[in-house]
Amino acid sequence: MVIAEVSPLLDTSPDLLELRHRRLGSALPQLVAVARERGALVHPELVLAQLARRERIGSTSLGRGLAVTGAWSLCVRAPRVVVGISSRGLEWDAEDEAPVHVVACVFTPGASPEALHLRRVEGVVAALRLQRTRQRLLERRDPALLEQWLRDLPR
Amino acid sequence: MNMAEEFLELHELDHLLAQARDPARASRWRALGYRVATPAALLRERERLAQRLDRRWLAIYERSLGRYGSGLSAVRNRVCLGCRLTLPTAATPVPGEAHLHLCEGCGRLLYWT
Repeated sequence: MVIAEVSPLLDTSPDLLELRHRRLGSALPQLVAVARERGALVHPELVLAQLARRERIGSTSLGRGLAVTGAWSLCVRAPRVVVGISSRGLEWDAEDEAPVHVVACVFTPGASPEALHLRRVEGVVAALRLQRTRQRLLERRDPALLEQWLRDLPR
Repeated sequence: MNMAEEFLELHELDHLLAQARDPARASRWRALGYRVATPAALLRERERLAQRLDRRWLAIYERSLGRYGSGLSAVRNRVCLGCRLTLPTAATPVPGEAHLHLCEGCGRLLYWT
């Protein structure tokens, strides 16, 4: 008899949420909480600490209202992208001092190669780099649109 | 936070430090438009974190970190993802157990996922 372990298929579709806060320190817990709810994380407090430390290496704001952060961590159980939008804008220590309106948080399991995490971040940056793309996201707030843009992201 | 989780935190912090210190990795992040600076604040934080840890286990962790670039390895389906050794069934920790274990193959601290 052959016994095979079958892993359940994980829903890795991106999440889109409205950020309630004005500051980076308050927005990060909201992004982590969503990933935790989806079962993508364990030890959310460690992930949160990791995201805060990442900001100390250098801001993850890429300018013109976009920030892409993330964690490649053993606390991450399944790949997940959580995107937060804020109409008012967030204070994110951006080099251009512009408020951040779109924040993407890329979670990659630490058991995957680091190069995969970088490719995932590259994919998210490429998808959201254009101002008009982000504007569409802010206007329509449509998760299906986001899923379409990020569907080719490596898992 | 138990000792295994404290070492996990140290491991994650070391990953970030490596990301900022390694010129090849840092340049890939810079190419994407990120600022990657000298992580002096993180080094201080690492010192503080290491002071809290058991010195004997820390020495083992540091030795593996120096040798392999990583002091802790994940275990999935009883396989150490650092050296691919299949660990004996008896090595599987009881759920909720906070003790640390070493890989018999590579000597890294093990984190069971």
